Amino acid sequence: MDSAKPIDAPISPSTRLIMDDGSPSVEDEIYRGMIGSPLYLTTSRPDIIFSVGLCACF
Amino acid sequence: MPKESYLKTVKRILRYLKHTSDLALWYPKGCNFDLVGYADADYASFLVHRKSTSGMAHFLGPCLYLGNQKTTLCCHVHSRSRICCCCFLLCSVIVDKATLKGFCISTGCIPIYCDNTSAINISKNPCQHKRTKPIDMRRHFLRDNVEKGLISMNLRATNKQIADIFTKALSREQFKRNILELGLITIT
Repeated sequence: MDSAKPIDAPISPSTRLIMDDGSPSVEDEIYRGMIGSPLYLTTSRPDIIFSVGLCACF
Repeated sequence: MPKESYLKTVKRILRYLKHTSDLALWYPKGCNFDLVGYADADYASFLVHRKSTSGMAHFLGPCLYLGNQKTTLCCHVHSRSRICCCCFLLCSVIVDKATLKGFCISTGCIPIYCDNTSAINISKNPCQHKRTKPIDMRRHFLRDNVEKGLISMNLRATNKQIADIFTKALSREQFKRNILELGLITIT
C-alpha cells in the first residue's frame, strides 16, 4: 500500500460489481478484514459510505 | 463468495483514504439548530439483486450529524422508492425532533429536500390513485405529517442534491462539490 498511487474519488461511476464475473474467489476472511475497518470509518467519513456499503454486500 | 475483482474496488477505497487522510467533518462553533433533511433514492441501481438504494443526510444547522445508506427490495415504482426513502428520513427526523425537545430546543417545520416531483406531489395529493395503492400507508404517513406542519417537502434539483453521494458513484467534480457541501474539509 505504501507505493499505491493516490486517487481523488473512492469509486468510479463506471464500476459495476456483479455476482459471478468469472474471476477467481478470494478467501472470505481476507476480504472481510479488508472491508471491516473502512466500515467502522464510515461513521466519521460520510464520503465513503456508498463505496464501502457496496463492497460490504458480498 | 468475494471475487478478486471486488478486491480492486476495495483497494481503490484504501487508495482514496490514503490520499485524503486529513479530510474531516467540520462543526463550526455557535451555529443554529435548524433541522434539515435530504433524501435521495436510486431506483434498482444495485446491480447484484436489482435493489433500490436510498440515501439520506440530516443536518443540524450547517453540521452533518447523520448520513445513511440503505438498500431495499420492496420498491416497484420509481417515485415509490423516493417515498420509502422520505419515510425512513421522516422516522428519524421525528426521533431527532423529540431529542431536541428534551434539550428545550424547539424546531419548527422541518424542510425535507427530495429531487423527485412526483414523490412530492403524491405526498400532497389527497385523492387516491390506483397505481399508487401500494404506497398508500407510507403516503398517508408523509401526508399527515405535512398537514400537521411537522415537515415540508421541497424540491431540490438533482445536481444540487446532497444525499446523492450516498446513493450513487459520482464523477470527480460532483464528488468534490458534494463533500464540501457535507462539511468535510481538509484539516491542515
